Amino acid sequence: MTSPLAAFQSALGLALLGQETCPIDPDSGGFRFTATVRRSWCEGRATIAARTVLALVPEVERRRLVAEYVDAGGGLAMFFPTENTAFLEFLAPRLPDPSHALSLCRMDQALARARLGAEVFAATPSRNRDRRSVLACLEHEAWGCIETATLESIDDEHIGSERHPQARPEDRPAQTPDPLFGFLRGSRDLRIEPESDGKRDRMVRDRIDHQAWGQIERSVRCSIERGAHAALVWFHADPESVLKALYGGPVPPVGDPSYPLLFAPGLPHLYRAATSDDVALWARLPVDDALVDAPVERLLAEGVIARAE
Amino acid sequence: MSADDHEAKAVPAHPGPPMPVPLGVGFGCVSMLPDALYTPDLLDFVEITPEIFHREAVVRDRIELVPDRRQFDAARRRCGTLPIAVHGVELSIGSAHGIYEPCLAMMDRLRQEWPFLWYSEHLHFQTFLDRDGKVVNTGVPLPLPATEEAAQLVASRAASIQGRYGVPFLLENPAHYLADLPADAGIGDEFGLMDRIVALSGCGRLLDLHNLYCNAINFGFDPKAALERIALDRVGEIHIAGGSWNDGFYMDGHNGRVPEPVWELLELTLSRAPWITAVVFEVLEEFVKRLGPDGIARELEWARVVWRRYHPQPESVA
Repeated sequence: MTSPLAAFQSALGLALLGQETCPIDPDSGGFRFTATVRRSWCEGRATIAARTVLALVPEVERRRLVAEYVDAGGGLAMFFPTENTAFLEFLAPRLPDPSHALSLCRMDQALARARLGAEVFAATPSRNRDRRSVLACLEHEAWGCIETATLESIDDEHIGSERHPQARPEDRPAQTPDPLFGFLRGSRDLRIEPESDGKRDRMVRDRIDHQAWGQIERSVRCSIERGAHAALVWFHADPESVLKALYGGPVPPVGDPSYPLLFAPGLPHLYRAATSDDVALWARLPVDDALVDAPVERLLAEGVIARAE
Repeated sequence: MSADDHEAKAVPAHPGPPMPVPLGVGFGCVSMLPDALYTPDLLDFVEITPEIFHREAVVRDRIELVPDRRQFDAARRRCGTLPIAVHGVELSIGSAHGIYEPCLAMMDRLRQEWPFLWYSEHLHFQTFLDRDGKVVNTGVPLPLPATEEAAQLVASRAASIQGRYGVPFLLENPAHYLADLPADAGIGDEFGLMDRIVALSGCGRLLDLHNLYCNAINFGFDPKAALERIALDRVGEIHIAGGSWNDGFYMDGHNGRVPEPVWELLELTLSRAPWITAVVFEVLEEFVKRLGPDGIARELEWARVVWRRYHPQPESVA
């Protein structure tokens, strides 16, 4: 059962939203003024949360956007970052595209994300992708697969039969490695000699061909993706001139999107100008790292990109 | 342990931890002001509002308040060796459905990382349940009705919080504009409500003289007479601030200099209760630019002048 205090609070709260009969005199100056103050606080919170973006929106449009946001239930967050995130999300699809305000909106969103990421950011460890390390990796994986495939072939009751998918390695009886495995291990050669043409050998080869090589390939290749807290934001004028406009400078004309900025948690000030190579790579992501020619270590260290595990 | 664990039980009247000996004049931690303002030459302590440098984050499916390290560290650097007190703003201690629990976890961490001398909050509610049982923010702090139920609820929470942190917990009298709030005969009004909570919980009072002044103007009572009704022995801290007129109401805007009648109320209070630990001048960050560092420094200097009338400094040895 609702307590009288809870009932009073709900009724008063909803009455201020215009949704319920007021538990006190709704025509009293105090109630009306409280409603006015509430509205003003909500609009104030929203305005502060998106101060930068709204600075370049014409006054009438700014008021309309803030009012629409508050009418939709905005402006109530207790914490500034929560309000900031919510209002920018609301604004983004409502701002003219292209416009400096939209670039600033995306910049604020990108900065917030990068700042959030910076608290926990650790650059993806760089992998040595030179030929020797790739071959070493390949060899390691290959021998693991060969060993597994050979043991499985011995363990099969009937050669060629499929193992029960539920069988666990620990359920299998201990086996002496097949002589073929010893031969292969001794040779340290991935090739299975054509002379070893018995049924079992073919089975091993088939398994390697159909399963192991896929695993080997997956283990030595990975894809590169956009950093979880990174963003590329396009400006339609020199960003410096856009930012100066926030402090009373002339508003530059909206031109082509030719000023890209990268935002990421590992960047010294959380942003930098993007190079044409950065932009080209960003557009391709996610991409297999084997297809990336440019060195990516710097971008990894900046948190602009990450390796997908 | 949640602050609500003690609800529904009668709270025994017991004195809470004692307030520190008189400290002097304090001010909030405002990022846009020069660090030079935060000097023992001007301030005796800093009153921090931890919510300002925390943000909400979902951690293991629960909302937590996590510190914004950049802002948190900057605040610590700014305060230097000055002692700190905490003035919370988001606990919503009067909400019938429950307080904002993440604030307590935030305070738990803060106590470990940056110990504070006392903790204060506002006597109001900021959230309620809608028809679907969903928590809704009021958008503006709202006053509590002067009822026994409200007194019991807040007192049980206040006592629990005071026990949790082992430092004095103070409740601040709010400014508001609602004249016809429900009231129980035994409690009467906002003064009776605060008295009852303090008596039940053993918590202290943060006497906001500007809020008292606002309510006196808007509801038509004499603030000095109201001051007579307040048991000053439980006052640990005083707030002073400036306000402004809007639509026929005088608002607690924290947006300007302290009006003369509030300085008079400060004189009156300190003359009667020199044991009060601290006086804080409040100004909202949005209005800091309007007042400027020099204007703020002048208000703080004057507060110190008033303070020292009732707390003379020991003669320095030549």
